[in-house]
Amino acid sequence: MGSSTHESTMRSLSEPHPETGGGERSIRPRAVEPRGSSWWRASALRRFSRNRGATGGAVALVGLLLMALFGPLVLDQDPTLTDLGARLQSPSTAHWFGTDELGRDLFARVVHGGRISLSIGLVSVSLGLLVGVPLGVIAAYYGGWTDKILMRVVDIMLSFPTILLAIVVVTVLGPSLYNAMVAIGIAQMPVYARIVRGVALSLREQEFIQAARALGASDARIVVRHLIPNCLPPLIVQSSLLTGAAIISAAYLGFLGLGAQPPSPEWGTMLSKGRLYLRSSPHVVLIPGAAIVLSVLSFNLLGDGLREALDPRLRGTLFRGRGDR
Amino acid sequence: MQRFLIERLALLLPNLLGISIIVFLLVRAIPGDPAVLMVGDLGTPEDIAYFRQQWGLDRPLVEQYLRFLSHVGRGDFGRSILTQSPVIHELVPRIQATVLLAATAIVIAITLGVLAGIAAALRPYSLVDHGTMILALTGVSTPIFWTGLVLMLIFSVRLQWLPPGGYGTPWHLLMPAFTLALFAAGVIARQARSSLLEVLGSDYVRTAKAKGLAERQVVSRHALRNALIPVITVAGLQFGQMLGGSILTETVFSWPGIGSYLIQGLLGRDYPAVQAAVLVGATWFALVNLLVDLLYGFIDPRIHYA
Repeated sequence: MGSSTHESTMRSLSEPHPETGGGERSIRPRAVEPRGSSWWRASALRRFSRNRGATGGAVALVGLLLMALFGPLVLDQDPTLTDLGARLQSPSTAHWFGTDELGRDLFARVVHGGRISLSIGLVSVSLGLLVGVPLGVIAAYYGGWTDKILMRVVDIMLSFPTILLAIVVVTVLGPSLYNAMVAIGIAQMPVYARIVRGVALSLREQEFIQAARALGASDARIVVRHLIPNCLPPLIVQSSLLTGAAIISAAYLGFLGLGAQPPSPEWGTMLSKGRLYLRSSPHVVLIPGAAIVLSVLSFNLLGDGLREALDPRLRGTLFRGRGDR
Repeated sequence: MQRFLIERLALLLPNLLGISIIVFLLVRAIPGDPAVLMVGDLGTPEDIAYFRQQWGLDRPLVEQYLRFLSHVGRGDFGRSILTQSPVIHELVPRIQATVLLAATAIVIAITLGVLAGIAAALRPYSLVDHGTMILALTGVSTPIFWTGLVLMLIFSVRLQWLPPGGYGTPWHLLMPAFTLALFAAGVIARQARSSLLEVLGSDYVRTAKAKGLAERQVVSRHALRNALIPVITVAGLQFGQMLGGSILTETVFSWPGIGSYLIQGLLGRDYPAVQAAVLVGATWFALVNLLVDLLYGFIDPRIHYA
């Protein structure tokens, strides 16, 4: 083992370890941190902006968002216009990304597909939040049998791999873009319910909640003023990561023929036909795939950065969620 | 430990029942007559009447479910609409194929992931660290089918080293296994890095260093052992998730496993096959998660289950 290794680990011993929090690794219970304070907000912002990966992800996402919002308005090419005389052309000045198996302009399709993929991410995550958060609150608030039954349902849903659960839902609803969004939202819902319930249970024992109760605060007030703000950091982090996951899941459904249907320029759907031309025209496969990777990578970078900024204690838990007890 | 074992097994039962209810309702929730769905469009009226009588489709839903449960308990999933042979006969070799694929993939993923995680954690914030972690994050951000197609483009189309699909020899296994492994490898590398870093910053590692042990000794004897405990959990969960991933991998590489069986069934409206594949998939996931929990308690005696 070289001396440089030794040096770096020795250095990490003398300094507060940047990764684990080192000396600052406080035993403060997460729930009592003054999340709303301006000090906390400023330090979270500083942590975020210092993280190059996170800022890179955020910048890429803004670019992606602008492309999805304005790209289709600026481009005059129709993403579904076929031109059989110009099939499977390689990238050129006329067609920046080349053309697909029906002569459609790939650049236009990728740009329009960005709009679809981002909507899928936003819609399914919102759906998951809208259903999952109230479920978590209800389970924690009522406790007892309500909690037991709700958590059992959540457990059963978590005992399907995400994509399998989404496939089951799409089987019942029928394959389409909108049903794919619903399916992915349903499949992600248990994650949010778990988070909210966990935070709520830990809060219940906190003194400031008891104090609020003693002062006569209503349940609704406690939920809105105390529970929701304390749930926000993990929810924001998970939402960012799960938006990326939703985009991948939608691409999976599209690729399998169970999501957006042709001629929709959804990225996964494009690949399901394009893969037949892998040998002769690899750009048909490479370009939409690269678009998926770039956008999901941006959401994951953003999520990682948000986690560090908002909740350093959650580090390293990416994708551990399922099956944790 | 024993009490935990019993409790955990007791939790498995309602989960399996829940899975079976979902699978049972799956076909009944699809618009249309379940008897026609299960026998297929080509079934004769006699076939449909026979199915209806055998599965008691005119009986109350609860009775139908119990009948379904007893059939499934005996390994009777009905006949495949596409091939007309009993689903169970087609299921077994496909389960074997998927287990072979997933087991190979998880070995690759753990090897790659742990090595990358160690390399990154030993030189935190170095070029090696940033490089491996960017690779790991790219791994978890890449759709499985695209990894498969890119590998296919490189190794089958361009270099012509490996067959683009099929089943039978180790050469056929190589690309699908790597494809399936890549996502898990990324997750494992990230976990390995962060837990090793945490352990390297702990007091007992400082003590080990203070008493003059060599870096290699400290890492391999003291740090790694504890750092790998959460890695094992994550690897186990990934192994469970691989059934989901194998749906894509098997479709890309025409690997005759459970995942491609499910998709063939869905596209061909072969609902007996779909039911069986979903049931196998979810049961696999539940069992693997249980094993992971048990293993976790076994390798880390500090963990007490309340």
